[in-house]
Amino acid sequence: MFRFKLLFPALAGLAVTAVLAGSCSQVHFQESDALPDIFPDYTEVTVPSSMAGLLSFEMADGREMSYTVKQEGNTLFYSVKAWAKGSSEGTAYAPFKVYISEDAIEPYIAYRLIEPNYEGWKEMGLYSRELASYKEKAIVRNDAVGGGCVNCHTFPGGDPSRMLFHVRGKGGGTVFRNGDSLRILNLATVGLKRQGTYPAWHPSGRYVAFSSNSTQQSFPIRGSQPVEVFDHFSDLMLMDLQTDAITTHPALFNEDEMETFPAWSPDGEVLYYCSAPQLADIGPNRAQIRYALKAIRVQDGAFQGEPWTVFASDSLSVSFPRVYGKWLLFTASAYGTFPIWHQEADLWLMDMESGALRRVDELCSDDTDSYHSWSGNGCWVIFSSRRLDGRYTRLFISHFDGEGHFTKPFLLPQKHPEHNTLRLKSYNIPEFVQGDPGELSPAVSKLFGL
Amino acid sequence: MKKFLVPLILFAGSFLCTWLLQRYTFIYQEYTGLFLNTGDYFSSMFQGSLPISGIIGDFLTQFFRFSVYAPLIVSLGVVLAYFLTRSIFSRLGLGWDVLAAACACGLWVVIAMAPTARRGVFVLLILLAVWALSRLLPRKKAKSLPLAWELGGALFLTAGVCLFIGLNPKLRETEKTAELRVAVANYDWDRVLAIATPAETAQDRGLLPFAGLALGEKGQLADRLFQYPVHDQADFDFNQLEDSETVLFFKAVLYETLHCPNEAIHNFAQLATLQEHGLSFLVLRHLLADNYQMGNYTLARKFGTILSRSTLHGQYVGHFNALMEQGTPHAPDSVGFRKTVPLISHDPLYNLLLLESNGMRSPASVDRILCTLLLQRKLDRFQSLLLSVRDRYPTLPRYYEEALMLGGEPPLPVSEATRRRYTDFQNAASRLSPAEVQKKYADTYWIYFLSVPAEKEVVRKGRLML
Repeated sequence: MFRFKLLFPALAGLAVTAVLAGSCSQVHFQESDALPDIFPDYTEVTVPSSMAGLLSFEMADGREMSYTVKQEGNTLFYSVKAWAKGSSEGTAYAPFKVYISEDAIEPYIAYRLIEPNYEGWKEMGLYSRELASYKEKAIVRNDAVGGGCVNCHTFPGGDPSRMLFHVRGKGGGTVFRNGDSLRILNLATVGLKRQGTYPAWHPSGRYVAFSSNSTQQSFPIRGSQPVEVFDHFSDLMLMDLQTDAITTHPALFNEDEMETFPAWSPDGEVLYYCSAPQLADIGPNRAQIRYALKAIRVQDGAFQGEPWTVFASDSLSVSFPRVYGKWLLFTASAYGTFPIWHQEADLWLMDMESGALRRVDELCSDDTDSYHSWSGNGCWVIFSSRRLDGRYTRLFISHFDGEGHFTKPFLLPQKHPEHNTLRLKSYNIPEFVQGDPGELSPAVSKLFGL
Repeated sequence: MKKFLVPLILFAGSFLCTWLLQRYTFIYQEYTGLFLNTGDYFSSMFQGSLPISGIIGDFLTQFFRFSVYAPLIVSLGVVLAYFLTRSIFSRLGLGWDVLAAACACGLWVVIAMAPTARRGVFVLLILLAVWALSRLLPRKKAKSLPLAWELGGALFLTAGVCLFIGLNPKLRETEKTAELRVAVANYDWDRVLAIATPAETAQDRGLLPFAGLALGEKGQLADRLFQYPVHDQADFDFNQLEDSETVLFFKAVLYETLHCPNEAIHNFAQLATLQEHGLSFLVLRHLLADNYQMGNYTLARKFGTILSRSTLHGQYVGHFNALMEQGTPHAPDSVGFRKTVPLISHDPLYNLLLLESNGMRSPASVDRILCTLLLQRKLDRFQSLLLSVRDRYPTLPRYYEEALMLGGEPPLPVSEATRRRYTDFQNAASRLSPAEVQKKYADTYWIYFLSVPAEKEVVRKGRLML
């Protein structure tokens, strides 16, 4: 099976070479020691075996190219020849390597596709993508909810049969899926009477921690940052899905602090979250806000004791803590709470046993690197980045060795590389899923009476 | 030859009528339309209803950008409908060409009334299907009418449709709006002022903000604003909290003219969400141009690449690519800079002052601030700001002089003519009835200042999308 999958790139390469043989047969190729400048940059990346046959690329400068692929052990060698259209001179580049990892990766990911356009939207939806192919399918599009906003999807432990997401707009609320059953609950009408925002599903599947945020978008009058987003207030609450009871803790639900971005430890005993002091008139004072990473123990759906600070900095603001084993990966920006609009946002890794902390240089770029998720086995990380054009978020995957090191990330392969440029939507909240979540639009439409 | 006379009449009639009466309607259809040879475009079309007619309609709409193509495509469609229906009728034994001409005219009306080309294409596709089916029928001998009847009928029908298009108030309104928007999108301020005259704006107050925009760009705002029937600041700026297509379009172009591409892009992006495809050629072109202006070449090139996936944007994209070859992209801002950048609000005056205080002055912005203060009747602030920018004005514009007269002895030189007129106005106010004074001095700031209710408070309001 493994070899069979690798047959595809080899055949594709041969086919491309054969097709182009006529056009490049008269070209004289100069040997070069350099690696080719290709888009996407798949040189020296590590890919899961299920995705090894999917790497499709082109010359970054638009020149014509052909390539051949050779496999030695777990390494693919791509030999690329490139030439300018109509030219009789070309370059034969040194082969670049693609390493194949035997570590398994989930068969699917889920994400939201949305225009990165300020306040409004037209079409958006939650989508799944099979990682062993280019197949993308809508889980639910917003036309199924009358054009409202669908967001914050999450699956407990990547289980495709259970899911929740929010719907904003008329008749909105939180949609819970359990197998074939769907229900909608407006959290603002029950319990603490507060709308849910960022969810974190407890590993047991019984509880969901929600933040409840009052968020505002603002627009800088000039400069390269188009949007600034901040919370006026936020709190945390815990929902028991068996009883729909919603509880909280005084330290998580108060007017002095803003608490957001809940995340569970893999054993479900600790709830991590980000917290910052409440400020008046946040807009002009937004640069003063830095979120610290805090944690609180939870047992049997009840908060235990008082929270403690895991990490706080006077130069970094923490978002999206994600834990696998002793490793904590989070997004850090210079200030504020919405890192996707912060060009300086990067991924940071903490060894929670030793307290060692570092910016993950091998993953980061000069542009926004933000939302990230661990695979179920902790061997892979998927994250979003705006490194291609500064605006449209794309997904990158990297292998983690369990010792604190990531490999060079690779762009989620598309059948045609130009798709990354032509797609006018951003990828939001990538999550690994253990199977095909299927299409929910008809059932959701029915739920909304459409 | 005779059999081509009826279609010739239809072709000529529909071409001339579209050219003369609906030229801008179709050009603006291109502005709000979209056709891209990309996977996402086709996938989105096939998720909607009537994908084939939608795609063909969008493809044809691209050509409407150039004014000659829409009349040509419309008239070819009408003639095609004529030939198809004539063939269908002849299979049914009906040889009257005038019947086919009536059907073709029906399609013409559909096209003229439709907001996009999709409906017309849909009708044509149905006709094509019926025509294909009719080929299965045995041919029947069809009796035709005398040529004079056929020609007379065709002429009568063509004239009827022309009259309908020419006199239909909705179509006239659409054409006027489209003409204005095309002129605004192309910064053709003379044309804007020719459309949004004081008389026209009295009938359609939605034209007023565009007239103000054009006056500002022509440097005539302070001399002509109160010749227009402005009642309050909303006549100048719309209600900034309103998210309609018109208001977003206005704000987008306004901020372009104020040299604030950030806010222009913000409003164009918002405008796009109200359009059929969530995007349009108009928005894509401005996203390319505004990002180029901001020095954001990577993003500008992306929009250029996407525009290149349409049929007629090669030259447009090439122009910007050439500019970017010669230019230097701006480096991204430092965190330190971004922390301090002020945030825009829903208060137009606050935003104008913010631009001013951030050194983002455009030729029109100072006049716009001063006129906003006049519209808000804040004469003290007006006067102190005018004093600080007095060097800009070798002689004071008319309405600044009139406003200064209201504050007692003006701190700046005011022309003798204005002083005399103000004295006359004061005398008239004590002598004549309010209605007579209003009529005689309708185009003065004094009347605006004294007779219009105070503006409503503008409240800041944000919306959220997570």
